[in-house]
Amino acid sequence: MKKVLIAGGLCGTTMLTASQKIEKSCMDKQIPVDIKIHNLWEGAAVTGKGFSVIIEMFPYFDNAQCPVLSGKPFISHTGERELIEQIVTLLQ
Amino acid sequence: MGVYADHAATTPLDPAALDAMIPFLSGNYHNPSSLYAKGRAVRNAIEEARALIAGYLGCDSGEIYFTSGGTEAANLAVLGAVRSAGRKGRVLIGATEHYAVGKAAAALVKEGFSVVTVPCDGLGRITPEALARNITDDTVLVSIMWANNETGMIQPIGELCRVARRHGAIFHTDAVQALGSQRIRVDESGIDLLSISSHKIYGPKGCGALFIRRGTPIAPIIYGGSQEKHIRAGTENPAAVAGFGKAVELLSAERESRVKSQRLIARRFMEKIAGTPGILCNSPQDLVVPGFISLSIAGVESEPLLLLLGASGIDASMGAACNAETIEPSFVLRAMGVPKSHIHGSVRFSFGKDNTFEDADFAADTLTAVIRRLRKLN
Repeated sequence: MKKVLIAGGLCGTTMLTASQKIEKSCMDKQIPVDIKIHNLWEGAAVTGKGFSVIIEMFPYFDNAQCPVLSGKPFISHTGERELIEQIVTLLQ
Repeated sequence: MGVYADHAATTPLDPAALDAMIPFLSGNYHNPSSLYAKGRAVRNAIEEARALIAGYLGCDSGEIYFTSGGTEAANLAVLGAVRSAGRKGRVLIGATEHYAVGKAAAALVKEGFSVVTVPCDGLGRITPEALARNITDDTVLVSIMWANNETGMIQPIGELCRVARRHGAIFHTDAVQALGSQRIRVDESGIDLLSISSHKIYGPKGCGALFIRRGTPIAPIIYGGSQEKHIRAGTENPAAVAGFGKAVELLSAERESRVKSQRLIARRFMEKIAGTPGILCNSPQDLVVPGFISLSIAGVESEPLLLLLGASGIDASMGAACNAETIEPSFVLRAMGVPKSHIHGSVRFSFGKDNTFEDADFAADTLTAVIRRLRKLN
């Protein structure tokens, strides 16, 4: 089971939508995935340990042990499909 | 170490204001409209606070109407005055008004009024010339805030009021952010309506007031009993009113020393961050409410900036909102023309009467370190 962390702040709805899109793409590729959404305003002390990839809605993680991708395309919808493909590739 | 630097959002309740409230939260619970002695005692306390506030603002007690806060007071001013003007026409508001005025004015469009936004200059000021260019003789109301809630910019209220009156328009000013530092004397100005709030001056939340110059027609926006001379129905909040009165009494005694201290603290903070490149200050210190510092920082975003400041114990604020499509920078900073390169990294510090030089130093050092960390990530 691969683990994905989506970390952000005020844009909770955007993070929820993003997780649904990632989950669907992973299901299409039969990749079992567990996606966690974390609002950093509820707890900023998040190391990202144990995740296969982190999606940050704004620059935050500076020493994670896994790839960290910007979640901006989920906000602006520009490059969103490419980002999802990149995430799925990292999880395969 | 924690630093509270968000006094523009709200201020801590002064212990003396709390003491003034307690009797009405305990034994003196009676309805101020009741005729028996204990009810009248509560009534007297409300009238004492009203007289205190009126004295401070330079008007009669009968011209002060208590509300649930600054937002309701601004709504009563904008909606109440325009609806009872007896004519359709224009409503003029400043480009940087708080939503309490902006959205109230917008609601009038459905009632047949037109709303005109008077543009501000690059510092966020509404100049008398800009108002004169937009006002017409069918202007019913002009509403321009005394000091802005995001940048602290102080508007030339006296001159703006004169332009409004020359065209027969009613003049309202939202003085919520100005009350704590500016000398406000409505008897020396032509202001018709002035809205204020308690919790910005170390009083309790849930209480504000509207000054209505005698003779200014006003229609209520809340219907019910005959409280506040039929202008604002609903049982009054004696505890909050008493706390507000005490906060104004303290302000009257301490305003100048607070202004001096807040100006020094803000100057110290600005000196400490001066060496960090890429920071725009939207609050020129000689033109804004003392203690107010709005910054727009290149190469960082407001939200992680606030998050990391908060993680270090610094409470500040950002002028931005997140919606489904984008992270929307503050309309105030956009109206001022703050460049795109900086506007997404906006943050507001608002120091208060109890902040210290150590607070300013810690906040400045932490801000500098957080900027450095976030810029490395981009």
